[in-house]
Amino acid sequence: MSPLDTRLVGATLVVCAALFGWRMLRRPKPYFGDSDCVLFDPDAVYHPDMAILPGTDAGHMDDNPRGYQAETGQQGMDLGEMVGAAFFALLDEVYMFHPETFEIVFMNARARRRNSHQAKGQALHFGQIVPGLDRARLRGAVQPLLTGANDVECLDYEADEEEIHISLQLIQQGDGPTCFMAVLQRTEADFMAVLQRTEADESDAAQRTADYVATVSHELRTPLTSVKGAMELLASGALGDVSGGAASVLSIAQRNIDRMISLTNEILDLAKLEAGQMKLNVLPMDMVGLVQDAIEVNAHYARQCGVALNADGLGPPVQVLGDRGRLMQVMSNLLSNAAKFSNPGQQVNVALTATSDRLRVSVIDQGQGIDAETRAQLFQRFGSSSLSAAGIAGSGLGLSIVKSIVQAHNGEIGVDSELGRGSEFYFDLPIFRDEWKTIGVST
Amino acid sequence: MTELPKVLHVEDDSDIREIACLALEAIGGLSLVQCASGPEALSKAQAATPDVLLLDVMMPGMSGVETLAELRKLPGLETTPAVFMTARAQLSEVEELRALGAVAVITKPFDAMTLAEELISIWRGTL
Repeated sequence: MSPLDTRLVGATLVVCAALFGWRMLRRPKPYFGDSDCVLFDPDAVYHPDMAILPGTDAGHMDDNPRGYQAETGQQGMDLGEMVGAAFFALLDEVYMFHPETFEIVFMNARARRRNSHQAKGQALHFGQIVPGLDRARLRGAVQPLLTGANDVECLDYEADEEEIHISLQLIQQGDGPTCFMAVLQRTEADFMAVLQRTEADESDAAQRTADYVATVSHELRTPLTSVKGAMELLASGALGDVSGGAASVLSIAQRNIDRMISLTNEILDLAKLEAGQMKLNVLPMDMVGLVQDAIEVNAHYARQCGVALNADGLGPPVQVLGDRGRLMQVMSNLLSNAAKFSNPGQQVNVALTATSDRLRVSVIDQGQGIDAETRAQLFQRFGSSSLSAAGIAGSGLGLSIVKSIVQAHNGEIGVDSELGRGSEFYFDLPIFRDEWKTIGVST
Repeated sequence: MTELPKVLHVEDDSDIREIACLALEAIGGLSLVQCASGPEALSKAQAATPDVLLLDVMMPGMSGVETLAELRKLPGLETTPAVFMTARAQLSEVEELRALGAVAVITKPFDAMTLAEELISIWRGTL
């Protein structure tokens, strides 16, 4: 074959590989080892599933059963781990099972997903994987592998309107133990159907979870409504005078019923977020106005903590695309946290800083500050619970919900803090400009 | 003296009915007719001649939404302002309730001390 022909064959293989999804390996010389590769001539090696182009790479292929490995390793890469991860992530289902009992000892991610309905902790046999593949038939299929008559046994099955191709191989680690490896490939249409079915199942499961938690929250809110209402009526004095120790105890009960309501709301929010059910009603809105309203809404609580909320020099209106209710939730969480973790007599300041395309809202307190370790996990679920444990109420869910809301607005949230000097919680949002409406920004 | 609305309140939970009764009558000074179910509301509504309908959403048997649909068929109640109370205040659900003819949605747990005030304000907004 001339160099031109070789290049043409190579180019054809590259195009075919791109068109048909063949795997492409590159190597400097013909391959003589034991593999699926079929040798046609000294210059090009071809197989329907694999094309090897000569003289175009820095590596080589040999008959090492561990397969191809580049001579020039990537710095910092643990190839063994990478191969394991790739094996686990294969789109085909891979099973490894005991040679006598057929009990499955390993499934890759696709296989696990396929068999997610199987009860955890129960032994699963390979014969259970494919309907109609009974143990006797399986024994017959693996016999040539055990005797060494064949390296690979292939089985084709039709089950549940699926065409399944099974490749079976005997795997042995040196002179050590053996096991069978089965790779299942399903026909393309069925594969997509399985994928869609699995995704639909996952979506249904998420919906069921969301419905369950929403129902539980509803059932919790009904008695909470009565308890909260009763306490408010009692505390108002409308039903008779309440004073001294009774008033003090009633006040404790009221504070804690508010905590329970807040926790119920947070659990519901979290369920909605996890099920992808939190829908934002996004409209152009003025953040300056929102900050002012948030300060007004939270001023009463801050006063109870002996803390003043300030927002001097907020400047002219700044528009963002946002869900006003959810951004109010973000502001209320940050303001109430700031008040809660401040000492009586201190101030909490809110500042807005606009760049050409981003607006930063900062809530700055002069409180106790947060150490680096706590800061690192502050926005994770229950990440702020260690702060709560310091004697101040909190579920540890609020900041993780706030982070999700900010991220759903294409924003970012963060915190700067110094122990003993206070903290600055901030979030950045993209600024919305009126002229963007004319170039098709969807609201 | 400023005129106050007469309220028809439909709520299956007896404790919440009692709290709402205290909040609306004792605190707010409103005139109130209470029903424990949709069918009871249908039997009492015309005689009660309410200015405002206050309906719980989730009730066994006939829901608040179904109750409103039936009440609307009764002469004199075709356009009476309806306010829903719900513990599941998702935005989509609030929008849905508004689309069904509710002028407002009050979320549970409500504030007993301001419930009457809120309801009066909603009612005045419909005049």
